[in-house]
Amino acid sequence: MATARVLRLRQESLEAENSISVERASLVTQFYKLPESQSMSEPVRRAKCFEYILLNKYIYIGEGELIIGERGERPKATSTYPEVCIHSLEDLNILANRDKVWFSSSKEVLDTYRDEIIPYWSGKSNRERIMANMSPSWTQAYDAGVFTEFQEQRAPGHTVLGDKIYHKGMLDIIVDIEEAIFKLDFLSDPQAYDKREELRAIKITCNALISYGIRHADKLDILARECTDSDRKIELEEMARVCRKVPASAPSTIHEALQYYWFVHLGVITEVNPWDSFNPGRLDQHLYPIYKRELELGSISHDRCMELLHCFWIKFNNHPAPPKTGVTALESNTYTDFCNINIGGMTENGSDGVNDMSYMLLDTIEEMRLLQPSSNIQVSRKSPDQFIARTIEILKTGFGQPSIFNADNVVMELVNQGKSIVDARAGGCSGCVESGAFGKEAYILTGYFNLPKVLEITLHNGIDPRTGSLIGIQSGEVDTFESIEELLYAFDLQVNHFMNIKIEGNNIIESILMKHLPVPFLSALVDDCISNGLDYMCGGARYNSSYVQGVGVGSITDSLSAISKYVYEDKTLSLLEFIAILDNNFEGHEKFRYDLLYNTPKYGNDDDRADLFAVDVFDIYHNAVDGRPTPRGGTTRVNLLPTTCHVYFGSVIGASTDGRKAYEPLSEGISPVQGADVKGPTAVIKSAAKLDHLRTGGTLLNQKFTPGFFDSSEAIPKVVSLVRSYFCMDGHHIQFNVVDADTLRAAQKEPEKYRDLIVRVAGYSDYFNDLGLDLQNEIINRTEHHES
Amino acid sequence: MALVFDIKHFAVHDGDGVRTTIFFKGCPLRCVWCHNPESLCSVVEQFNTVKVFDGVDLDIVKTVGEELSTDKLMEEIMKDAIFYNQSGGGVTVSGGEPLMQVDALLELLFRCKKQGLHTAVDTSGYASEEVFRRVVDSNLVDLFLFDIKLVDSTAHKNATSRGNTLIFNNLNYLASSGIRTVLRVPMIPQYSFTDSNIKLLIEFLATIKSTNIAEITLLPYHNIANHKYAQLGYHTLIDSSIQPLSKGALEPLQAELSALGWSVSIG
Repeated sequence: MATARVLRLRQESLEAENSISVERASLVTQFYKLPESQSMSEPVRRAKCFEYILLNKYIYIGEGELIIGERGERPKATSTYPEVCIHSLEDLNILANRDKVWFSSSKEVLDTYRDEIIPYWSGKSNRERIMANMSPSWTQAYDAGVFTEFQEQRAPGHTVLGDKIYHKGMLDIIVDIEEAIFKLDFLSDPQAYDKREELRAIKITCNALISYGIRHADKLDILARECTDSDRKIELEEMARVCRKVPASAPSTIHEALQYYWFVHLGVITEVNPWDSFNPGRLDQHLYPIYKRELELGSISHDRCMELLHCFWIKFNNHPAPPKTGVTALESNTYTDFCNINIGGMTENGSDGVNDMSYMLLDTIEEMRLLQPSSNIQVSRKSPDQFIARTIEILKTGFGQPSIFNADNVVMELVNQGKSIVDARAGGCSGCVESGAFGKEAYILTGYFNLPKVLEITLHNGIDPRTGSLIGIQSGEVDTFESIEELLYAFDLQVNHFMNIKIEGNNIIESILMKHLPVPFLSALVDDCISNGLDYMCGGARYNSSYVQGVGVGSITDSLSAISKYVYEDKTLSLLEFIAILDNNFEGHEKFRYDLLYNTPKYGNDDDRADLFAVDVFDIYHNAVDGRPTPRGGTTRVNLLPTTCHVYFGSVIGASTDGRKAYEPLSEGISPVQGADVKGPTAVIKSAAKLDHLRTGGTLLNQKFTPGFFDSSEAIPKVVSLVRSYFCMDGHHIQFNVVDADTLRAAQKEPEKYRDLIVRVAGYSDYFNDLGLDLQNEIINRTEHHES
Repeated sequence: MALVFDIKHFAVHDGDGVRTTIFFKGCPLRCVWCHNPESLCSVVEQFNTVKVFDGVDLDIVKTVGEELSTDKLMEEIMKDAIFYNQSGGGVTVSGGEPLMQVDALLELLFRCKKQGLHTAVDTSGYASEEVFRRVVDSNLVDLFLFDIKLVDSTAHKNATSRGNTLIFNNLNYLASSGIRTVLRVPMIPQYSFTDSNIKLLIEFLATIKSTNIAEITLLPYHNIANHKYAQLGYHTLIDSSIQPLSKGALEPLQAELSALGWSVSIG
């Protein structure tokens, strides 16, 4: 049970209002105006800027907190990063006034932006540098919605911490740095100077973090002196001791380990605004040895450890993702930072990694029920069923966390990419579903790729029908395609055409980041940046990957299946006639649209007539991307996940041959088109497993259930076996959505989108759609009853 | 060939593990509470309905039932083999009354056993002794799900159109076979969920309890099917004012039967 303190802190976190904090932007601007900052090498300048922020920012310590430190001046005060991307006053207004997840800006924020930040940074931000270097064909494809670009507004991130900080304090890391500097060979290594500047920069950031810890300790001392509550006084004194010990030295208690990680976390998200915010990775395996030792010594109890974990969890929830600018400020309403904590999996020597701490983290997730941090379990063949069952117990409450990953797959994916098996086992998944070698890899997501849009352009011989501009290549008039294979060949040409544009852009952006946005603090944390004397941004990590994420697998598969059936098999109509119907958004062809939706083979039903097109598309996409080199010495790879981009990508595509009306969302991840899967979860899993997950860096599959499905005690073991079956077939990830009454109401309004929704009725389960209205209403009421 | 009206994948309430349930079409009984009216008639049925779609009235022809070969059925069944392996599941043949198509049933069960699958048959028990014994003696069924609707034969005839003598004879034969059998008891207000029937039921159960018949699933009434009748153009047989039963309403009976040594679940 959560303590009163934890319940209060949690409530405060839930109620805290998002706001823009101008503190970081101001400090960065002040620093860049200093005369001495002008002559520094870029890594040292970034390091000194980092130090300037940590030495001058406000130190927030909340009432009753055990784990301390905030990026802004208070919970949910969110920093901006003008050197990466500048918010205009209009952006700040949009952010303050949009419907969901708004960020308020005080008068002070707006004034400082108007008078200092915007004037200083205009023309100097990294975004402007990037946009000035993009080719007209890149801009055309970007504007058409063929792909998105991750790194124009946020710095590349996407890495996860390994076990380094549990063995090394910042002082130990500084020793490593000194050693690396000592080994530099100025006689024969032409990069020796650059390496020394980088290493000096890393050292500056390590010292800065130590000072940051001490600043917290100093403030805690003052608070302790002023404190009249004797219990809290002792706590504050202990916290001051912790902050003097870590981050300088390696932690020996759970409290020290959590506080150390939290300082490191703040450091990473203060240095820049990395995508998919950093996270502690395999937290259970990192903490368990420390916890065990403390239990033996009698220096911690289970309950005290839980309280510390609760406090730690709440800190994540205090940090919304840095809001974006421009059109995306309006669009990306609900984006949260995906700090995705991994639980379970295997140890470095390949044995089962599930331990007592794994279950304590699951308890924490259940009890805290917070949006952030996100969480997942890593299931290997060796993981006990109980571990999955405990997770489904939490999932069935409708919270959507934790998601479930196939740890054996993750290892094979990483090994396939050339990682050592030991590094692969220490890896896991971050963001949504992305596999990585934790603590040793820079795996950077570069943007989403709109597969159905490329099909639309193929069907218009290179023209984007939305604008009439020729943005693709002329791959052939559709009436010349005599078979689905010829159409697929043209599609292949277009995918490669647009992928070339995307990768060209990626490479330019990466080169700009290498020159202008080194991250020396992150480089202190990721192996082997120090021994290589190279920044994380410049290929210093042991492994370097870049990803382009494919979106719309379900939609494009169903689109091809429909063309195959009606144009080439049944010969109901020509492709040209089909396109004419799409141009009219099916008006006057309602019966045909009905048949497209209900009487055409669809992905997600274990029907090869559709599913084999998913396999074709995957191969085309994979071959267009996989293996391409990047400037920092990395390799480009694919994964299949959408976040919320399937909605944006749908909004740029007219009606499609799968029966989707113009501008409606695409399918998400590798899930079937919403409502197209009518044969239940086993069929979905079989369809999804036909893709070769092992050649990706992650795929995303969602499954919906209603809470009532889990009423019977038999339900959980059956869902466990469903997970095991998917993983036997090399599925990468599965997530169960146990849906609430609101969803059921939406399903009543738009039944065609919820054809896959299974509900438990009485003695058996059925599709919600198949039930009479009265019964639907009854189940809706029942659901609400369950939740009350 | 079998006349089938539905194939349900990931069936989780029709026996152990994850199952695929094949629903045979055609039934000798006409239970007033039947929630699968599309299962009753032994022929393929077509229904014309008007559906409003995109603001337009569309004439949709719905076909219920399809003649499927055993090969085709096995193809569908084997698609889910990995789930049976992982969960200890298998195949359930339900209906309608699967014993009405006994040759097709035995052929399908034979093919399933050849693949090493766990098999279950969900039956009303209303079949000739000869047919019933053929199925029981085939050694192709691992689990029977056997319905007990009403204990008094006249009441049974009134509610289902047939008496239950044949059914109970068959059940006795099943008891002597040693094959694991789960009794499924629909609890319908005004019919089976009455003091008099429950009293008779408890007496009757005492007579057939055996090592292989020790499990009961109580199925609370639900008016799920009322809209299906309308869709199919059938008249509802049951009084529409009869309200669904909650799980809680059956808990006292569950406790009572448990005390008598039955393993009882509420489905």
